[in-house]
Amino acid sequence: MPELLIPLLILPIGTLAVLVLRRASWTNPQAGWLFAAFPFAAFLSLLYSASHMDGKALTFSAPWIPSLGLEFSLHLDGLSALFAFLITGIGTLVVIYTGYYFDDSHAPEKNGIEARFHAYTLLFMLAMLGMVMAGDLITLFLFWEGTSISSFLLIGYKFKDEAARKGAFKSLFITGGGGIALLAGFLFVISISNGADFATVLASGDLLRESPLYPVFFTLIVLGAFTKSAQFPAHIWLPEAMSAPTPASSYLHSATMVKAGIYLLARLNPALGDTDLWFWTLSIFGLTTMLVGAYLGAKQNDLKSLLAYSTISQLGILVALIGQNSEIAFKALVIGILAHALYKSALFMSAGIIDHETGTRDLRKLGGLRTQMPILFLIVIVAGLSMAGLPPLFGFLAKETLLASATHPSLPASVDFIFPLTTVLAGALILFQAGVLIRGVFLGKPADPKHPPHGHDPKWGFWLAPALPALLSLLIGITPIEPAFLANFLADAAKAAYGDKVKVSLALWTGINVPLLLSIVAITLGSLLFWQRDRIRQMLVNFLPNLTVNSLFNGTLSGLDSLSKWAISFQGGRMRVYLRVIVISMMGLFLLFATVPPDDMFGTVHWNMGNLNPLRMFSLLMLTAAALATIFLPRDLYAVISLGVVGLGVAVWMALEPSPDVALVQIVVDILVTVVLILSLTIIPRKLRERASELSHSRSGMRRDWLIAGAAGLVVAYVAYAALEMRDEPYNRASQIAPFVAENAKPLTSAKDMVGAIVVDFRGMDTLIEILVFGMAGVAIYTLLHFAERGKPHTHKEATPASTRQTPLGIYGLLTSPLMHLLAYVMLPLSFVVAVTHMMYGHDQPGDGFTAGVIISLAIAMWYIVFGYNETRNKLPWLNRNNMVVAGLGLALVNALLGLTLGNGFFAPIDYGALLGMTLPKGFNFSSSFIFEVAICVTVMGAATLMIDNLGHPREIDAEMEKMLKKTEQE
Amino acid sequence: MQTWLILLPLLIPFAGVPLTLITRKHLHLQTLLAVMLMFTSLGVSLALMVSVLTEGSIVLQMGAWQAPVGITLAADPLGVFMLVMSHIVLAAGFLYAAGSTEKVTSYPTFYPLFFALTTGLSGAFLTGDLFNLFVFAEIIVISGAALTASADDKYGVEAAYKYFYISTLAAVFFLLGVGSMYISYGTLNFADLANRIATTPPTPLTGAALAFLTATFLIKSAAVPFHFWQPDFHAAAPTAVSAMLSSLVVKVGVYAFFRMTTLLFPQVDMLNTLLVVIGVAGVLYGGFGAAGTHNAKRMLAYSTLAQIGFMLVGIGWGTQLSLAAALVFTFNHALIKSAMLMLAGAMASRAAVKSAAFDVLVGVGKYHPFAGALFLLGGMALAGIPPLNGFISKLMIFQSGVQSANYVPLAIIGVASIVTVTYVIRSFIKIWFEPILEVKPKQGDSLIAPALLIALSLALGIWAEPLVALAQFVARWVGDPTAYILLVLK
Amino acid sequence: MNFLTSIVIGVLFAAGIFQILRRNVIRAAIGLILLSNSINLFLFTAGAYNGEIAAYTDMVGQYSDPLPQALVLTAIVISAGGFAFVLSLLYVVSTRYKTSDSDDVQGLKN
Repeated sequence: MPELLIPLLILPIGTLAVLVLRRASWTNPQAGWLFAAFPFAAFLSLLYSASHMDGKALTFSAPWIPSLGLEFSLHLDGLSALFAFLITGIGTLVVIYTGYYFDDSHAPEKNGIEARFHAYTLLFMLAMLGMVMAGDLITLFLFWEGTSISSFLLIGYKFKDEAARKGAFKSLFITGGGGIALLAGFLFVISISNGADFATVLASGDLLRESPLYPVFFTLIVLGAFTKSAQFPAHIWLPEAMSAPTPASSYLHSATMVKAGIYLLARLNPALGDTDLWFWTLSIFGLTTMLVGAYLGAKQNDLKSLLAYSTISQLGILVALIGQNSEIAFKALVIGILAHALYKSALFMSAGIIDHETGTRDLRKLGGLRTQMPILFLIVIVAGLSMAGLPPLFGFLAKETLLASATHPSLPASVDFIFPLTTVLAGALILFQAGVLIRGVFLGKPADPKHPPHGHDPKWGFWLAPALPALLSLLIGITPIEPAFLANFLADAAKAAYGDKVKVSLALWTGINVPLLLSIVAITLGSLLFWQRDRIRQMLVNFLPNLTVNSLFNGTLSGLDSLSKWAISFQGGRMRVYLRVIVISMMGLFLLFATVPPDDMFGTVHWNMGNLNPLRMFSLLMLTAAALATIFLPRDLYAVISLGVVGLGVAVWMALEPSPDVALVQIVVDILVTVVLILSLTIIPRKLRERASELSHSRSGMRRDWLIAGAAGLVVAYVAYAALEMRDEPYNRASQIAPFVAENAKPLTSAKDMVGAIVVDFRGMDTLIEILVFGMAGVAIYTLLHFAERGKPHTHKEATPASTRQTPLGIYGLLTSPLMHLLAYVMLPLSFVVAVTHMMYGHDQPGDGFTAGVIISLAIAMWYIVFGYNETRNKLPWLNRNNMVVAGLGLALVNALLGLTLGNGFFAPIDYGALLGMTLPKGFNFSSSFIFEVAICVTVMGAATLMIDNLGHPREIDAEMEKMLKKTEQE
Repeated sequence: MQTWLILLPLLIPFAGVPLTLITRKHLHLQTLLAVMLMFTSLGVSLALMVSVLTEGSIVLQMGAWQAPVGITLAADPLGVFMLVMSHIVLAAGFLYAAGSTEKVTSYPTFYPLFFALTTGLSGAFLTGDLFNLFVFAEIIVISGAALTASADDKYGVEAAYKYFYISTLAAVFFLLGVGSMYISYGTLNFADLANRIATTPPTPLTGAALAFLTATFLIKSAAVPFHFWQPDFHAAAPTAVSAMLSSLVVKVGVYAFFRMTTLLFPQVDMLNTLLVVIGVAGVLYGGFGAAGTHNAKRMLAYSTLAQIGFMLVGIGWGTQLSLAAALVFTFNHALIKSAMLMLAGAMASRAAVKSAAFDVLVGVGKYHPFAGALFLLGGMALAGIPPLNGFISKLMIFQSGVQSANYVPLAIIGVASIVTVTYVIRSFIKIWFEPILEVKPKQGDSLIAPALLIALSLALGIWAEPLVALAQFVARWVGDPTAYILLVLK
Repeated sequence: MNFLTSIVIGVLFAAGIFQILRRNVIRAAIGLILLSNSINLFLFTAGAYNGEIAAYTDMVGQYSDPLPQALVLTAIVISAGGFAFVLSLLYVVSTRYKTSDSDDVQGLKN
């Protein structure tokens, strides 16, 4: 029914309202009362829903992610309702209380109302409420994580002090970790029971219990629940969460956050419970937690810590109860939940008031406040005695039923002794705690008489909040006629958790029976302890071990940190290491996959040594020699030159294939590469280069590198060999691309040169992006050297060439002879002629736009060398490199698009000559491919010139470098 | 019409290069133009996706040369999925650059290079040709390296230097792979290759091709142990760019693995196993690295290592659900990671000295609660906490793990996601909670772009159905390679 | 012949790998070119048929497969552009880090 949505909608609206009104000029109390309207409205709407529930569950569901079969579904039955009422009811009180708590100077840096806190509280309330009202596991998980995050914000609210930050992180780390386990567990459950909604899950209980995976998802889910409900040893986050403002603590730790795990376990009990694993796990952890909490609480001096530990022990009791499979246990469960929520919230809020009024919550400073704060005294008495489990208060009933279940025959005989014993012991300790609390704060004399605490009863609204729950725990206890509606209500809740009908009666007096006797024992024991309180506390503090497992948490974190340090140590900063690792891993992959497919590569290859060809032999020899020379030649310059020789060797080989086009490009690129390499040699300061060439490598290092290089070379050589052998094998003759090109190059693209045709027509796209790469390389160098390196930003005019501050002569101010000038003058136009012919006839013979572009730019490079940059700029005003790149790319794009509009497709060849009926020289077609060649040429020209220019003359930096180096050496 | 739809997402960025280069002397005009072009491109790619989903995939043979002779552009569901993802994030990136205070964004050649990067990404996701993919990958490398090298951060150039060397290795492997492929099967067209690999007996070089291509894409996707370039490169880049690098550029490798495992080598189970192993390793290494490092942007870069690991695991499991999960993960991670990097950068730009190192950022958040809220939301998304979209990703991955009974990897990545919570929350506490050492309020980069991205993440977390449904549709599509083959080869 | 060719390609590759592992940044740069040369040679020789003639439509005889040649053409250009860029990087690195030893270039670590 959609009405279930109402409370879940009211709260976010409240959050929004808070955020909108955060600048409002009210006092905090006013704000508190106002914002309390939202949880109260939620409470009322829940009351309405519950009123016509009569034993059946109300459900609502809407599709969320249909394609994953997930829905957003809500569900309200007895159990949900019990929790929902606690959440909204106590929530209302907490919001009111918050207003007063932040009233006055105690709240630092106040500007207006404490809106952030209200917003967090309402968010948390929303998450909590949604969690208990969720109708399926995934919806439940959504809100479950919501509680973790919003409680993180609440605990870290006073983030200025370290404790708050630490506590917040700790709680989120633990509960968040539990959350991940929980999600996994849920997914297992869902996949086994084919459905996330509780109806399905609870119905398929047997299926789940018999599943072989039961231990797995049981563990995961229990992890989630225990971390949330602070079971030993995950309880450590709870005391530190006390660094939250008291309103938050009283809310989180009485009624809500810590009860989430209890709710989950109770909710899933019908599906997962009733197995030995379930019983033992829950009992053992529950009882341990109960004792640890009770014991640790008894030695605290801080009011809030004391209450926190008693909460822990209460949670332990509840978990142990869920573990048992008897009606009485679940009766005890629901009563326990209610009783604890009531008195614990009252006590927490009272503690907050004491802190607020006297400025301390340390038992060693308090004492004798009964005269100053009579009302609060009353409240604490009632709530405290309920906690102690004394008649006629509700807490007594809770303890009665607890003891009844602890002595219930349904327990296995092996533990029928342990259960009552531990329960009694814990009961006594808790009574002791309650006594210490009341005595230490209100009765007796101030603990240190020199500075007695000052305080007085607060405004009525402030104490109203704790008064109400205290009053309730009194009323439920003493009311002579048993409140039937409440009994039925609790019975419903217990039924939902137990899976079967549970009879709940709230009569205090159930005649003389074992539980009563045990409870008397507990009370007397507790009183004895209290009588000897000082000695006991001393003993607890001094002798007994300090049972905190924080070391566990810190160990985990420090383990994580050392792992992290170890992990990042791999990122050592040396590129050579990275390269080595990558090359080696690549070879690993090669070995891994070389056997895929199973008939391995060696299978079909013949190791023939046929058709030796002297010329090729020669080029190969030249290649090898030059390549090795680049390694062994001592001086970089020689190495560079022999690198050039390698390139030439490759070109020769290509020419012999025969493949003139590629050979041509290889040659010009080789020249270009050598030029820029030599340029960069000249611009890197000599000192650095000399140092670099003196760098030595350790023998082992050399050996290792040789090994790696050799192995890699072997891999490649092997692949190459297989490939070469396969040229004659029947393998790739399936390719119909070459034949197609051979047929259609001439007719369709009017190109004799197949390679050229492929480059500019069949695979024009590659070339388009290729020139983009080349052009961007030029632009990149320009950006890096002109702007980034010289730090000449913002001024959006072309940076003036450095050489304005330099001699007009060329690189390194070489003096150049008139002959050179003449040569340069001739070269440039010549290069243009060559280029143009290349582009015009490149389709029928070797040569293409790229070659053309590089040739021209080389000629320009010569000008740079001969005349210097400035001079060249003046002599060749049309030489704007960036715009050339622009023009080239633009032209190429337009040309390609023309193919789409005029021709029959993007990049489709068009013969404009024929289209416009021009008469053209023989062998030259004015076609789209020609335009493309021009575009390529222009782009490459621009880019190549950018490269040569910028690499050529950042000389002033060079000079600065030399100076700096001198300085560094002097120091 | 359809021709235009498939061309424009590629050509608008391409045209953007000359257009922004010619207006380089007028910064404002250039910026305006760039942002407008990018958003147009986003619009077009969305239209393309709609058309693909409604009227079926679009194939364009360049120059009307019938495949496999020419180059094929194929907008199939997987392609457009990645395309739309990249364009959404790229648009945000341009927006961020427009509002950025970094010097580099005011260099006249910034936007041309940025558009070159965009072109590379669009092309990589749209092309149906192996060698063409190589060319697009190269333009991504060079433009990305250029942008990083010219960052204000003095280390940018070092990062670019290392990146370039490692990428050269990638290019070398790629070409070896391409060669082996062409020699073995005489074609470069994906569909044709897939067809021949499936129908003809394996050749001596098939395994080599597989190995080389795998190595290439492991480097591209920065998977352990091929990842060394990534943390440096992503952290040192200008914020607007690093957001793109960490959320999109590595995805090219992921995309390639989708193609390899489903289209080219569906029968090679060893590849899937390898991906799972490497993915798990990445999840662990990235998580710990992120927890250990000293710089917010580096932390996010490491976390990308981990997240890529999740995707690879999903791809490796290879069930339909896990593929869908990997897709959702890919998409969500793109949004989250770019937003987080932008936020880290924005905070760095507000710090006393412009740096993302934690000990500089301590307490900088004081005057920027809004950014803090965004960062917390983004962090929750990264850690997979509802109601953010990251939760959906994690949910689906876990679900597919449970379903396909891969318990060991599942357990490991489960534990690793606790580490995620740790480092995210720690960084948040450092920047926004820790006490302030004389921090002054300072103007910094605009927060519009990250805010939009986080809003989108939130929306996709609360209303995840469309994305999940789309991902499942795509997963079904890639599950059946013959459909792609028929589509392209007709 | 095939055997020798493949050996040479392997040697080129090995030399390239060895060079990029040098500390001297100039040698490392040389390594890049060696690598791309060896790969181009591989693509070229392995991809092509044993052609007697260049791939021209007006010639008769067994021509080499033109496609790998075209690919090599593209690859050459791309590697050239990239190489020029990496040289500029190298220059800036050497000025900023006052070194041309690649092991000293580790401002970015962990």
